[in-house]
Amino acid sequence: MLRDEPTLTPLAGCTDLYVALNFGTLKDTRFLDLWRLDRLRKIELRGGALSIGALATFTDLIRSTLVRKRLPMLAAAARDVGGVQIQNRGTIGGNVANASPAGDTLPVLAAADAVVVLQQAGGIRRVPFDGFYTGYRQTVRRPGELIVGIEIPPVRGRQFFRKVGTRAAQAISKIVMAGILGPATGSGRTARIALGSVAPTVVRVPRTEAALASGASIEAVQRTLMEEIAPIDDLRSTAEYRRRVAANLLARFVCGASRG
Amino acid sequence: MRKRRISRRKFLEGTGTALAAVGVVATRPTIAAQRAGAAASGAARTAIRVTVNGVARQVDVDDRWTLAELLRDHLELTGTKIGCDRGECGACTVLLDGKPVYSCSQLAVWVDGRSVETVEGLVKNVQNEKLSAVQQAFVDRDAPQCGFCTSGQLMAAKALLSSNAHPTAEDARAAMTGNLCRCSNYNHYVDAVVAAGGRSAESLALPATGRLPATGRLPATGRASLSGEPSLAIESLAPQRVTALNVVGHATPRIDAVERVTGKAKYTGDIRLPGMLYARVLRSPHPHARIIRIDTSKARALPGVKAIVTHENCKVVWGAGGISGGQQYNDEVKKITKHRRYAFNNPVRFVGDPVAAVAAVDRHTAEDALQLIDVEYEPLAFVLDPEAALKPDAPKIWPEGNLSPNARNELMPISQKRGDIDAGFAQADHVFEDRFTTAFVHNAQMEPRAALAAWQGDKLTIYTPTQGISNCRTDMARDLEIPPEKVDVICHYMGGGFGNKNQNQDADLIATVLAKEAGAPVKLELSRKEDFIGVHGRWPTVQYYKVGVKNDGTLTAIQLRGYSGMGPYRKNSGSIGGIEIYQCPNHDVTVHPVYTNRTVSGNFRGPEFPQGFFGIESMMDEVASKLKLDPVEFIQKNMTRKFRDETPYTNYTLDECIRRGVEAFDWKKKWHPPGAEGGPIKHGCGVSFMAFRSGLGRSSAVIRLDSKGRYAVHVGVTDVGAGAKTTMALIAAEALDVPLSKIDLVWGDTDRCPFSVGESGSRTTIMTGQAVVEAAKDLKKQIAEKGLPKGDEVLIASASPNPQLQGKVRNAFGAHFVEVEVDAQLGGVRVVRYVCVHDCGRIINPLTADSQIKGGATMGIGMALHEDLLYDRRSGVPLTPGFYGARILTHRDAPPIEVIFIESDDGLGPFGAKSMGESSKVPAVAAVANAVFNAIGVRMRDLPITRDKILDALEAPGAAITAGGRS
Repeated sequence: MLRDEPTLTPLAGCTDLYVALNFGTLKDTRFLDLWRLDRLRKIELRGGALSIGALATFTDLIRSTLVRKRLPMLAAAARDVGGVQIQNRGTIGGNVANASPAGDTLPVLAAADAVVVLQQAGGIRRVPFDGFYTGYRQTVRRPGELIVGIEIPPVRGRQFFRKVGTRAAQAISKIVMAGILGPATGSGRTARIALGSVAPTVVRVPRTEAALASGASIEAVQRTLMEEIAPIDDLRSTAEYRRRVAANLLARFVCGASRG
Repeated sequence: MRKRRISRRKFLEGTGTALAAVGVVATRPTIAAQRAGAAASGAARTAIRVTVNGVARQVDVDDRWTLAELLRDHLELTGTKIGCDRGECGACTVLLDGKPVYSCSQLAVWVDGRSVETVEGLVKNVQNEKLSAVQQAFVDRDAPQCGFCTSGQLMAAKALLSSNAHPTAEDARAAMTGNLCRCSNYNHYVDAVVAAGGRSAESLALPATGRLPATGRLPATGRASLSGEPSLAIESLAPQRVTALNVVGHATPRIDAVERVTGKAKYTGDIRLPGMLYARVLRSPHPHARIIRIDTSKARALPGVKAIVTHENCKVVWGAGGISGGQQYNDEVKKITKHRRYAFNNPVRFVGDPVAAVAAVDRHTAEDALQLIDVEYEPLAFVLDPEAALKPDAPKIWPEGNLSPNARNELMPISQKRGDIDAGFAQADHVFEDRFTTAFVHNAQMEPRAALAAWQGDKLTIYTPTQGISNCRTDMARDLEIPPEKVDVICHYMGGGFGNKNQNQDADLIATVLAKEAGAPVKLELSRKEDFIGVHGRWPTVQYYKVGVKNDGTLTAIQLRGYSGMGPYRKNSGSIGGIEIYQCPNHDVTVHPVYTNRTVSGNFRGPEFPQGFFGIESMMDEVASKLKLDPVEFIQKNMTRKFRDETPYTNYTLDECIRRGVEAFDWKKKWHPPGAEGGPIKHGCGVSFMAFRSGLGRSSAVIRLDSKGRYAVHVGVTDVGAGAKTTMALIAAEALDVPLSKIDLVWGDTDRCPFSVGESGSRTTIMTGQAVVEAAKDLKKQIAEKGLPKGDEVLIASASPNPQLQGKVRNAFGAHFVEVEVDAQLGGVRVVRYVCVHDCGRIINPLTADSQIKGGATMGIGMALHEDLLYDRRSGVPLTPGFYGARILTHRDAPPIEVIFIESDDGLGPFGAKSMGESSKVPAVAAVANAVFNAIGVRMRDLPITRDKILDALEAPGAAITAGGRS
């Protein structure tokens, strides 16, 4: 169907679409309803990777023992998405497709080196998460392609997720960070760190990761991070706040400091 | 707002056709008109099969209906409420195949083949209507206040209890955090859910209908509940000890609690009249613009459209919407008011000012018609900031400029002086100056404004959520220029208001003129966004203080220069209250109510006080800190002892409130000199106190006794959520010396009830309650003289007392003590302990009183830390009109609040009751802000105290406090 009419906007839980409609910001006018494609809702291990169907809801992620065991930071991120009502309806595929720089699960997927599985009539292609977003609300998804799932290779190391919103729940993030920290070796430690709400898209911070790997002091790594990201002032926060808090979250993560 | 956009209704209209597992759905704005036309005469429909509350049904649904719409408008299951219509508030929560979802965000066609459960399906036994355990727990714990969010809370709770039979408080908060409650009764909701799961059955702080000890504290075992929700203590003050009564003073569930937990309570939006039309309002997209031309011809041509009104064909003045001086509106004020507000204004003066309204056969057609109205605007220069608006070169919103005139139409600020301010500063050893600002915060009551107007000949019946049916009636009559007896105002249930449902509203007038024009009843329901920008919130302020003080902490002079942003119409006073709670011989207050091109400001719970108290009590906390004094000692030295240092209070309990708070909170141990401790998490303690004078005004009551022994108590109250109905019934039962079960309350209908001043200014209990007491006395006298009525006989007694305070001032008193944790790395503030001590005289109903105090304090935390309405400074457009943007507290944000009542009896109010409703919001904001200061050692001068501001403050050069700070 998407092949015949590639400009259709796929929809499932509609938790973001509705808001866009309400604010009059939505330009699309034709939609494709996916909600009943149950086979896209599976969470399973496939060839060593955690495979999550695009229609898996946040509730599915929270409840999945597989997710909780292999990627607890994804369950943590899902728990921070709105209230139970939104968690029951919002999907991981929708979070990815909506391409918001503030999407709660996206830093988790970025840090975990997830792969986005796209399907169209001609077949399937897999896009590394790091290459999926090309700009603000822009992705490499071609017209006629559908996000059918997310694959996450095994993750080794300590996981971290923290969303900072205005209030404790039901908030759009001011900043959100996910990270995976490998075991310390003599010279440093491997780290994968991704942030939301600090750039037009969710971003990985390779220079910061390299600094961590090189064994630099935490202060030096924090400085690298603050230089590496380019947040902006908007409704929810200031660039200055985001920069400082990114650095503070990094310290909490790396030093395993108290309250997250 | 003419944007070329697809409206959600059109989206829904299109997406509904997606029924197959994968379906293509389409919506084309270009064919909207034809579609809507079709709708009026029967739009595309789909037959679905759905099980609703266990009953299998086959329904033909319009493809664009939401599930909420199907339930409410077509299956008449109106227990499910619409609070935001965009998945932010939870009032519409239903269970879909057992899982809670927002029914406003589901299309009706999507539930084909599925099972839906609503609040109406919760009763355990439909035949005898026995409540389920969770409903009963909600009743017992006074979980619903206004009740508008209750159905949603219940459904979320039901889902939780199905998967977790014995939830903890934390489980409950997580499961219900998608359900907002602006009465902020989160503690009681959580406690009820935990109790329903059996966890705290033995820990009920308040037995549902038990006698509380008349004096002394509750037994210690009763105070800590397993759910972690602190409870309530009531203490009687020795000199004014209250004596135990039979009915009053016992914790009693609301007399209408069952209606509120079963979905049976009918709110304005739930009422449907035969032939009723639906209205929608087109609002200005510009902050200031002249309307050059309005073309409604295309909209009029749309089939199903029955009436359209604009400023061209509707000249109705909305009197209460623009008042010289901003005080109570009346005939005299009407004559003099210069800057009048009409139902439709030209020029429009803020984004959201009504431009046109449509009535049509259904809500979709009405909305489609709005899109077809063509308006040409000439944008005018605008100003958003009150200080900027007073500059000579500022754009003028009214020809006389932007300082709003007083009740004599003089361009003068509000001014109050006592003593000699210059002499006061001359006597001072230190003079401190500072500037504080507070934000516009919206009342954000869960029920958006609604009105249903119906004309029968020349008689208007209007169903509307109003805090004062009597005032609403006189306002409507005055605006429509008809006699008051030609207007019947009905409000049986309403979903909160907190001051923005006082008087009549433009929504009432718009529905009324449309109904007249169309010759049919018209219902208007504002969207959440419209309610946020079109209905008023608290006025934002800028406050400059200058305080003179002696070395020993004695105040010698207090000066305040303030600016209040009123929006373009003066609805209320705009004053900034608070400095009178300090004993000081020399005061000088000048406050400028200023017109701006923002959403209109007006009354919101303690209208001028939470913002004024934030200013003055932050200022005084700062003075205490500079003098290296414990703020409690400073307060005790300088707090009011007589009203304005002159007039005695009817009784005075402030010392006692502070003493008890210090003890309960363990202030002396917990408080430390302001400043940052080491480590990222910083603890701090703050205090604030209050003296609050309620509004006055005469009220009447009528009691009718029949031969069956039923006492019908007629009072002109509504019930905003504070529990006025129950309070009146308890007072009546006590005064008549009969059981509560003998009382039938007649309320909320001006044709059936005598005048009452209305639920504003925290005065219902003391004013209308006193009328009930007096009427009961008269009835008892009649019974003594004539005997009980027999057969068709009735006895009728009435009273309209004019209570005298013997030249004294009646104030409620209180003090709040707050402990916070500030995260110095992320900027967050967490309230970890909150103790409120209040003297509200005798507590008529401890159960609802506890809800009131907790709600006000919780709202205060929101105002201190989160709430704001942000504007795009370039366009003048509000950017955060909704629950997400306004950031009111959620279940997960709301801390447990501990309440201690100091009972007293001044012998004046009904059984010694004083006012309560607004008082707990008044000191809350300042107490939280002062606790943040104590934690970080940096004064936060601008509300809300967001994470960003805290980090800025901590990292600003020289931020660390130098005087008395800890490092």
